[in-house]
Amino acid sequence: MSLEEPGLLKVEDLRVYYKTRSNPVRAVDGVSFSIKQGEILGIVGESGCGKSTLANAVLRLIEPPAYINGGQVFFKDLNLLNIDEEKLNKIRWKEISLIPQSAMNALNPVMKIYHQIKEVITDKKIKFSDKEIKEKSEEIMKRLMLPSYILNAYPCQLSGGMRQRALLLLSFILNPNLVIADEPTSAVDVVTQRKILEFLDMQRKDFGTSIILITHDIAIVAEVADRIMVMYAGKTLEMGDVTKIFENPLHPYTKTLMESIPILGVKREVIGLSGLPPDLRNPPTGCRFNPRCRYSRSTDICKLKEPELRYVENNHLVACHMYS
Amino acid sequence: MGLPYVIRRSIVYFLSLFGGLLINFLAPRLVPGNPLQTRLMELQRMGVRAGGQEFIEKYMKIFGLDQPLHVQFINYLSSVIHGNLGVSITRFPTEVREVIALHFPWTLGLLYFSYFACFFLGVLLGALVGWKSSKMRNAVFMLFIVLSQMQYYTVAMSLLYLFAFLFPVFPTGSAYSLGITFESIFHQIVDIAWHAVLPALSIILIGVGGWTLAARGLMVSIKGEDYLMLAKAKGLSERRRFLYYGLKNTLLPQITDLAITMGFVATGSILVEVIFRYPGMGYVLYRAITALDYPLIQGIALMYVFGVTTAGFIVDLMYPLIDPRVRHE
Amino acid sequence: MINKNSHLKRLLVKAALIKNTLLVVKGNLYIFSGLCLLVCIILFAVLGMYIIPFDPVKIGSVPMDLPPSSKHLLGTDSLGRDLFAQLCFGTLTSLQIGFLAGIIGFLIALMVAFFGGYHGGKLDGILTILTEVFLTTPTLIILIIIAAVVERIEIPTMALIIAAFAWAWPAKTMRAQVLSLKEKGFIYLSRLSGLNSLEIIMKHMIPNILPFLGSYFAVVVSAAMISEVGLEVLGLGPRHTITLGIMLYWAMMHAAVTRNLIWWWLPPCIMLFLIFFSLFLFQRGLDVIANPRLRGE
Repeated sequence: MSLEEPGLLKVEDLRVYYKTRSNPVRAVDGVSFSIKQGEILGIVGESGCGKSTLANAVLRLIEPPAYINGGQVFFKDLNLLNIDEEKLNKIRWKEISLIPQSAMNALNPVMKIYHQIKEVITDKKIKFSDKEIKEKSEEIMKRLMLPSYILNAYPCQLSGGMRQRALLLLSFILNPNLVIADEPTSAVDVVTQRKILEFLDMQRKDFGTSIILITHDIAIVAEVADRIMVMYAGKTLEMGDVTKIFENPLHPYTKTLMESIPILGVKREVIGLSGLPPDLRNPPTGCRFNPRCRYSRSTDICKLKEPELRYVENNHLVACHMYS
Repeated sequence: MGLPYVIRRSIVYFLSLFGGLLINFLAPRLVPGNPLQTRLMELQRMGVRAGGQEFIEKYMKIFGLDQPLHVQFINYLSSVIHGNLGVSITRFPTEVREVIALHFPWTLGLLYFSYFACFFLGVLLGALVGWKSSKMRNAVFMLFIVLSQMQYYTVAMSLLYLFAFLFPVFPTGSAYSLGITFESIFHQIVDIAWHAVLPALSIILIGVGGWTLAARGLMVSIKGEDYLMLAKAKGLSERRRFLYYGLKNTLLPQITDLAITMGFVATGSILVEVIFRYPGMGYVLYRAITALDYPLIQGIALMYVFGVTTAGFIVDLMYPLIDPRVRHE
Repeated sequence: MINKNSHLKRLLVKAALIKNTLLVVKGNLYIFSGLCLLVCIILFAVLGMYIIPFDPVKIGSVPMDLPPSSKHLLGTDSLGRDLFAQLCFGTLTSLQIGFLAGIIGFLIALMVAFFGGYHGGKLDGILTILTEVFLTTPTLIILIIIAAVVERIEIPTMALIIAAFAWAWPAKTMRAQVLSLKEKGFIYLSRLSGLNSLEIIMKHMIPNILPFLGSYFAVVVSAAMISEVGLEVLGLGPRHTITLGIMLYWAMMHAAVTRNLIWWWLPPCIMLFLIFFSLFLFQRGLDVIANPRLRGE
């Protein structure tokens, strides 16, 4: 699956599986996408669709029993899956950083926040003085509305929302080209949510940082993303410009996602999705969404052949037999 | 953590000390028979002519034995607080505290060196095995686990036999060579160290296993933590991740256990000292038991109780200062 | 008619329980091998006592310092006593003291843990502090103080003294168990149904934590034996008898290690190791039953 516009990051046909006693779980099964500098890509999907695994795979953080079964991850012409660990460590955090899903335990409990910041700076051989580090940190802290005393605090002294924002501080302090944010707003209250989203938007505008925003909450994506990618059962179902997809969702799954958002002022039945995601050790033949698709009765090609991700219009791709 | 914790630890600490003192005081007094009478009979048996009842009463007054029990106890407490632990029978007229002062440094040196070596070596080994297992690491791990099940006397005697007798690399006992003049302080130090190797090794070989097992378990669970995964995402070197994210988090929670196991190691060190005739308090205690030198026995025992409980108390108080997680609960 | 049926039912349930327990014991390798080893040791010692005609205690009953031979399987010591007889007799005596002290200590711990943990309140507070005091004080030292002044220590006295300090650790752990058990639903129900505390403890709590109790008992016996041997090696053991620890005491008194009398000091060490190892196996097996998570190891 080739996509034009080389851009910053290009993932090609990535497969990440988990070893089990029986068949491996195909958590990410042939996902491709790309992202340009200064763009926010939202990856949307329900729990277990492979989004977090995908995020970890980009930085080669996959640990057994998970393993990478194929595909490439190109970052500025370097294949991140092939280069040696030393080179990758230079890229990690400095060019690409990660905001993990749960902030509660992601900060080293026995190091002060300031030292954790200094640690990443020193590790990349950047020579900042203590004063400079403090200044740069406080710039970002202001945007995140974090009080200055957190620098001298241990993670256990901070509330959940503060820890999440401290993680954001840590992720952005080296001004990376790409930040992968895995559910940055799931564990926080709506007020903090807003602060975080505004911050991400600001970073993109002022510094041109690209952000991969992973979430199950489609409403967030509507706010800040330029493009979105809808994942399901380890596969990409639909991808493209956010406005186009919101105005005209093509894939049955995307349609259901859109319809599940309650709209103020409009009274309508909220339609859910019956059934459960498939067992990824034995995914169904053909389209993986077929068992739950409301259109499945009309065609049986859905049961036999897997739909390919195809262009329907400019900057809008769908993997569904109804459009091929 | 906070005031209730400190109060609780203090209560336990002072009760421990008090209990030790109480037993020290009561033990000889609960045994039937008047010690003076017994001594008198012994002297008479040896043919010494000694006085009768008034003689006994006179000495009872001198030793304060005619007072009611609780008064005697208060007298005892006050003399202990003033550092007066009585006079040794076998080394009469040397005071007990002088004997202790003479031999205390040897025990302190041996015990503290070995104990902390155990802790750091054990935790390091356990952390290494937990971080990444390899055939070599696992083998060493199992070796120390098996060793930890041995007893102090077995290991001490075996080491003595193997390395002081069979292959006479190390001396068979004592803390330093007697009757030899040394060329310099340096030679003296080397001599002392050479004598200390086998006793220290006896303690260390047994002690490492326990810490290793606990540290490994802790490290294995830490490896699954989010902050360790993020450390890898930060591009930090494996060495840095192991030391600052893995080892540091493994080491800190185990400090509290130092207090608990100190008693066990202290009593083990007594046996080790005896087997190697190492002139620490333990060896002197052993000789005192053989000679029934009660003041000395009680004085040394009291020192051990005091030493172990105080050290444990200090560790308990210091721990919140070291581990930030505990401090800010 | 009804009485007879329920009586029968109770018998059947008991039989099933016993069968179940036996199956678990049989199925569990650790417990089985631990018990086997211990039984073998005891049998060995008893057999030895029957076969060997020498007196282990009487000084001068045989020539001194003889190396092992067909007549004296382990040779003789510097006091003129057969060492093999000492080994057998000593093993039995050591085990006697250890188990006696262990049982007494365990019962004390049981009472402290259950009455404190169950009733809570002031009693529990006092007992907990008491337990911690006994835990932090180095027991052997206190034992030394006591044993040194008791002129004629006999086996029961020694067992009592040791038990007086061996109860602290299991008491603390058992109390934690009781506290968590108290919260369980079926205990709450039995309290509602009007059973008094003793019945609840005996009929409902204890049977549910039997594997744990077994494990703790093994630990207490181990600890008691460590204290026992510690005292004996220092010369504070029971008089006019032989235990494994006392053998080591005499061996050290006569510098057995450096005189190359390896048959004097090594056999008791090995025997003690085997005893502790068998207790360890037994305790580990019970741990595995009590805590299924460990089974995977």
